[in-house]
Amino acid sequence: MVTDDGLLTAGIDAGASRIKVALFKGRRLLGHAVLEGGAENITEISKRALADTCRIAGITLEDICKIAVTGMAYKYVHLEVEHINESTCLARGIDFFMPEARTAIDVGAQKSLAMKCKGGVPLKIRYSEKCASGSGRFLDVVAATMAMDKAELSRLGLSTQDFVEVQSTCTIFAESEIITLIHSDAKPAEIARGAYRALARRLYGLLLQVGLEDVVCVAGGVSADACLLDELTKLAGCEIKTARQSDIVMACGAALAVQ
Amino acid sequence: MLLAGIDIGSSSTKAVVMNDRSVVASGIMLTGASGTVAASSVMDLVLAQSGAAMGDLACIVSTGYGRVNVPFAQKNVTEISCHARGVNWYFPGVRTVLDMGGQDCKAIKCDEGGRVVKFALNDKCAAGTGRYLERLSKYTGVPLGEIGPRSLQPVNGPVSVDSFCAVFAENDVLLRIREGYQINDILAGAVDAIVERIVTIIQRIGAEEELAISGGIAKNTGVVSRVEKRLGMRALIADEPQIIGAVGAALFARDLALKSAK
Repeated sequence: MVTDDGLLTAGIDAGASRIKVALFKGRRLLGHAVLEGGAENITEISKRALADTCRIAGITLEDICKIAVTGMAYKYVHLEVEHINESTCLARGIDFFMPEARTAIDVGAQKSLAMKCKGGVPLKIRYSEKCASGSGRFLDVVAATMAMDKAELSRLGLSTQDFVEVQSTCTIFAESEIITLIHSDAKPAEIARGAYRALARRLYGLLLQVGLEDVVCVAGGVSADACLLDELTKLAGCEIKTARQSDIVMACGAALAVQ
Repeated sequence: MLLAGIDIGSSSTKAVVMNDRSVVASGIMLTGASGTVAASSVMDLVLAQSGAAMGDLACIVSTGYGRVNVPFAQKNVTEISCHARGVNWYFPGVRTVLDMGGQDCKAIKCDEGGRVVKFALNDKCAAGTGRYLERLSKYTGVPLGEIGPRSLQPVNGPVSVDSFCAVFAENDVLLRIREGYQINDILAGAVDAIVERIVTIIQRIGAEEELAISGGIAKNTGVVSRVEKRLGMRALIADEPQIIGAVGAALFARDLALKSAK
């Protein structure tokens, strides 16, 4: 369906833990959906997310001109789609939500991507994907070790400014270290703060590799975490903003990339 | 003269009692929550085995991850020095030592006297350490001791495990199991992945003949035969590869005792 104000396109961001879909007409976001991954087939979840989005926007699937797919699990989405790489999607998405941002970081469940960008074009990119220590998975393991969910971990961390060092980089070793810290009577809030600080340091390192420039925009599922943002802001010493709908930035970027 | 060496590792604690010529007693136990407690228990064990009392020992040297927590040791020496020295005692021709422990992996280049020339170490990441294999055992349900042999008997060939990260590999492996691949094939892929990691550590020091492997993973035939194949070298392994560090510590204890006797 071609109209004066652009095509109807959809972007699917098939991440390690969730499937995100965004629907655009030109540069107008018509609707979006975020579904949990779980054990179900990724193609089926993607179809459901697309159907949900179409319903919200009041259109049918046939109305969509083009569907783009990105994210770690993109190759499991067996639909008629065009694959767009993550850096392009992030740059486009950032340009949509926060065009003034020159540095961006997407923190996902299994990997992180830092980038310098301008006008929706990635200028320099760095991935952290080989190791769980720079991803949301690190916080998952910390929260599980402390027998709480991530929202609780974040609240706990925010309740103090003091922290104990979590020295292990490896998530597996950090798990043992945190157990030892708990047994040594360290305050749980300070352990939580320490874990956030450790992750923030690694993300900051990734940002330094692409060059830190004002304004920094944070995207991805983990970025809405207030404690992580607090730590990252302290380290970076500049303003760090979260995209308004941080978890669909990539999906939006994908839809915009095939406009 | 009787000497003792004690090696407190992240997962097990080892002790040996040596006389001038040989190892007279050795013991291994899990480190558990306290290195100090484990050190005392394993020391009691080897003393009982050798029929000696603590007072009969001319000197005790500690090594390993928990080496500073041994109140009865006269000195502590790094595990890198002790492994090189211990391997040299068993195999004097060895110039490359690969020590794979519960929580780290070291490649050591040493000279004819067992002195360390150069080393490379991974203690930041669980990949290539015993911990990786322990977790693999836990989530595949294959006992630790069977991982090596089964990884060498793939049914349809190794299934690639994309990530060496122990956290991500867990996802990969569980996914492969769900997809219906043979456990042996998955184990082959997972062991391949960590051996690649181990080989990069050895390459940082440059492997030279002869090669010896020490530490707990030396008992894993799957890891050993892959390392041998990748490096094109045969690995020398002591009868009990886990006590090499403790033997090295006991040899340092002998140096110390001889020096103070002068």
